[in-house]
Amino acid sequence: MWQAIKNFYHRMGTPREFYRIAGYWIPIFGVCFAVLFIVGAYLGLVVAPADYQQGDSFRIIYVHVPAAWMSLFVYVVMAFAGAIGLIWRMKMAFIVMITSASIGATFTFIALATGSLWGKPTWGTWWQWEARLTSELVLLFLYIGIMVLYSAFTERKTAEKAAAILCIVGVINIPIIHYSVEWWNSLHQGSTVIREGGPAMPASMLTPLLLMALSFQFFYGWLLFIKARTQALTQEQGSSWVKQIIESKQVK
Amino acid sequence: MNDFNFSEFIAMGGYAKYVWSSWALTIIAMASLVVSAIRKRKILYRQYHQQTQQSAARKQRLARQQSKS
Amino acid sequence: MTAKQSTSHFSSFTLFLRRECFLLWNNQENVIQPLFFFLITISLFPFSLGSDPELLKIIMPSIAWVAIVLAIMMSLNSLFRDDFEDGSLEQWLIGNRSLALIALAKIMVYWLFNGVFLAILACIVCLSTNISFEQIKVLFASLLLGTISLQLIGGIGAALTVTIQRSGLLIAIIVMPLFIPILIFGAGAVTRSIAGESVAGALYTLATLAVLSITFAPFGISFALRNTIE
Repeated sequence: MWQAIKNFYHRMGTPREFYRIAGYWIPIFGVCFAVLFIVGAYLGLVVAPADYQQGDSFRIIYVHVPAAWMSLFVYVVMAFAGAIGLIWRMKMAFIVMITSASIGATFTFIALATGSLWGKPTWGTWWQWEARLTSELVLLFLYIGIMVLYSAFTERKTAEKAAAILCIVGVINIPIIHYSVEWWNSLHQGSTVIREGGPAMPASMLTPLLLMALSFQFFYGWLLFIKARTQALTQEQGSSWVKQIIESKQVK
Repeated sequence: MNDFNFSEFIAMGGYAKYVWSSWALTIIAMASLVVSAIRKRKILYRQYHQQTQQSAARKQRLARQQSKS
Repeated sequence: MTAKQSTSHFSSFTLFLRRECFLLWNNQENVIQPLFFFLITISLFPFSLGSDPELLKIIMPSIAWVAIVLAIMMSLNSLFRDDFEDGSLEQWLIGNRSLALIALAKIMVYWLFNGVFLAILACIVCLSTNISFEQIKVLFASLLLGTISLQLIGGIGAALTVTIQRSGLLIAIIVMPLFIPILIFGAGAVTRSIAGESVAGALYTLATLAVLSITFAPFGISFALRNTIE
């Protein structure tokens, strides 16, 4: 069992094997994402009853909360990938980390923008310095920092390592940031109208949320594989397997 | 679902502006990620083919020059 | 063996403390420029907010905190720059001294000359708005504790970007989100003391963060230097 995991891990670590295995998973992830997204959107927008306090405006939750979860999830994935890349010098780990950055930043942006759109009808303002939104904003800054740092280096290998280190430092800081923002917000006593999507939610409202969250996960995996494959091809240009693959593709 | 009313669905209980704009924004942002990923891949292929064509042309030219001399 | 090793670690630590003190003494602009930058920044706020003494009395400590965060951010660029350019950084990398310890010594000296001086200057500036002595004490304590963490965490950013020319703005971008918790607790301590609330929690948290950064940041700095300098 352990040997099998190790073998799989090593195979995924080489760009060539990654390209092959990812190519197998891409259609599966794509279909899962599309089906779950459509079902989740249908259940969330049509079937789920309106909230007794917030009316139909709560339906923003089905994009806001999954995006916010994903923004954190992607960052943790990046930190793990960065650590693996630094410890075992694995090429694919760095590729996964770097290609995740723009996806995670987009999720963070979605969470911020939809949170703001949700805030307008519930708080009356587009932006309130509420703990969770503020943490999300800081997370966006962290993502921007990693992307800017990566693009500042001319040498790709140095850029990867520097971005990975910053990513790990950031992931250690995330709990501290979260705690500090929470403490800071308790001073202002902001009215948190947005309730946590906890078990208090009826199933008809919770199911679409979980479906949407799952579909966002599949979206991330799907896009990550697509982007990582391109990146692997770009980095391995010149080796024969890349030539074979590219030559088999027709360009219009 | 028998009493599904389309205009009511679009109206979103008066919150149409916010609900639809946030859903649209999400879909546009995700779509733009996909589009950029596909475009990157296409650029890679195109660059590769251009390079191979150029190097092939160069080889031909060199061969011609050598045969002349 | 271990005793000998620890004494050699200690002696190299003190050696580097002395070296850094000497270098800073010769490059006094590294000490003076952040102080001027701080004064200029803090004097900009009354121009934009108005000169209402009651308002300034409440917000001056928070402004001082922001100005100090900015001053430290600006000074980070020069932290490893000279050592990188004259090659001593590469010598440390191949030498058998602990790079983490060297980094810690360096930043301790910088803290002594930048952080502590900035804290004193901030207290003098805030005294002019005639806030109570109690609050000045809280401000001073929070600044002393906070600037340690700021400089150590900022040191990681400086180490990551040491090979990049014109890295000033880049350091600010990557380090700013990491500074936010310290700014929150530092400025929060003073704000709470003005509101008459207990400040112990904030100060303890700042002290915890300082201890955590003293423990871990030097290793982060040495790791960053090792991985970015080829």
